[in-house]
Amino acid sequence: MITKIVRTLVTVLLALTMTFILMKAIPGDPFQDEQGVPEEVLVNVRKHWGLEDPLIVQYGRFLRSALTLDFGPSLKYQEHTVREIIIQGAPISFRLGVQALILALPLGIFIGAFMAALHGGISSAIATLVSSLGVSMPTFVAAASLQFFLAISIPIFPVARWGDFAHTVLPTLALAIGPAFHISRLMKASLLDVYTQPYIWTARMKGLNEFQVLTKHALKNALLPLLPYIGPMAANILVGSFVVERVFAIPGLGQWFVNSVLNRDYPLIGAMTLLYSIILLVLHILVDAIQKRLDKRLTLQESYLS
Amino acid sequence: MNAQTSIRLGIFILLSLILFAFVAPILSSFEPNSTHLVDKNSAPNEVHPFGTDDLGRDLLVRVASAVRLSLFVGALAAVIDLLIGVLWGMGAALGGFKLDQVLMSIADMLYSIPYLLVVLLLTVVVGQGFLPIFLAMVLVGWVQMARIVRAQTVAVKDAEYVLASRILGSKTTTIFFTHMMPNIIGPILAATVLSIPQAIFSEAFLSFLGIGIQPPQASLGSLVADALPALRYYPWRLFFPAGAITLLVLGLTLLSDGLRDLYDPRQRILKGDIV
Repeated sequence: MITKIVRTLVTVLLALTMTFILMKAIPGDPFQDEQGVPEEVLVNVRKHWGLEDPLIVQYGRFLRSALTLDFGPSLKYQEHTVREIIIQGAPISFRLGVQALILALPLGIFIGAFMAALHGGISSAIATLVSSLGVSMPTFVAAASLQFFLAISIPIFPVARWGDFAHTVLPTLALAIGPAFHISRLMKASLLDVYTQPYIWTARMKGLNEFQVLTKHALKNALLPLLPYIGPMAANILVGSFVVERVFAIPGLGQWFVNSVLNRDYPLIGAMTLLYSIILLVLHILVDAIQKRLDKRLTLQESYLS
Repeated sequence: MNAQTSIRLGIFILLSLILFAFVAPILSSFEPNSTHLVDKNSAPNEVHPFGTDDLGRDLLVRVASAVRLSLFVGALAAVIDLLIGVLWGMGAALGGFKLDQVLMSIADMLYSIPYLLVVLLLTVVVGQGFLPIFLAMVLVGWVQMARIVRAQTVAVKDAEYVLASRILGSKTTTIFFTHMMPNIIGPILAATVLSIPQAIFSEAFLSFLGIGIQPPQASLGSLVADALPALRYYPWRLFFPAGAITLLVLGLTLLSDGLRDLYDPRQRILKGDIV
């Protein structure tokens, strides 16, 4: 566990370093688009923001801001600090992401169990086709179609913008569709695998009905192989929210992420990278820990190895 | 659905789309980027089977041209996967402990940087358009493949037939390509076919956000993005590109599923194809 955390911190450091190198490799700076400003003024502005310092000094400052979580003001939108921008946008993006995950997990597991039960025959073929269709639809297509059918053709939900719970329904659905069907496909394969195990026969022989076999024995074991996929999937949901935010005009983090890079807004880029790599890695560690806790075989293996 | 049906259906969908993408522009008398302002936003009719957009451009040829772009991006991703990913994974599995550690650590690190961030930063370095998407694929797109190849190779590298070939004096690369490859080709093929939609998705995703392929060139992502503001009045501008990308990826998904099942006997037993 300790080595895992150290490794994670090293990875975050590497990601930040790579971001820094790429940022500095980019010709130009946030102030190059200023019109009619004399060169001397620009030099002074750059000096003011420390952009004329040696790279190693800038790198040190960049790491220090990452450590203290204080990146100062945004270079492009100087009336806001980076922290304000993130505190304003992050809760919105995360709310969408978390809602989508809460919807996608049980839904995917349920559909997967259903498909495994249907196994064989025409109904199973149709279910497979539908779930394949579900994973084949890009998020932006799902979002745009939902917007058209459930907000424009049949006006049940608001078309766009951010406000009460009704505003979150369509974005959450759009975000959840892909992951839900992805989980269902994994779940089906995993369940079919579990059903060949001897303990399932034992459970059947002692007189449990199929539902009890599923809920008491099969489900728990079938969920284990899914865990490694959940971490990256959750991260994808968070990133995927950029598109959904765009379609539904939601003021989350997405717009800032894209704009920060195009504006070469160094502090904002740094903060966004930090935020996303930390989320990604925390999810990895979390999933790993849950997996170890549920699957005693893994801990056993590791103690043999060490 | 068994493996054969899945593969057949997948190939059928893909071939139809390829046929559409390459034949439609020949049959149509319109150019993808030529504008006809008198004929803008017209609904699907005999002259324009998919209708036209807000500049009067024929959507049929624009969707066809966008599908060609997606196919190209996908094919490129597959080639990069097979070149870099397979060699990287092979090197890690067969190159000894140290090389394995180094190569897989690099792969893990690349994997932990958000893909979108890589593309966005590259976009600023080399400019918007196709190049940053391509470079991002070269830089990080093959990591998953390298992991799969390594895992598969490690699983077979102590098999008796490998030992036998080694005793007969074969070189490691010869053993890998002639003896191991046939045994691990299934997962590799399935992963290749599966990495194509990922590349297609990311190109469409970036073009949708307006930082990928630049206008006037049509991409399935930018066609969908263009349709959004006028969705209430001209919904067909959404349906055709959205349908095209969904079908394209569906075909690839079915093909990949089929290939995986076909080469994985355990799956075949489970599915009752062989008893």
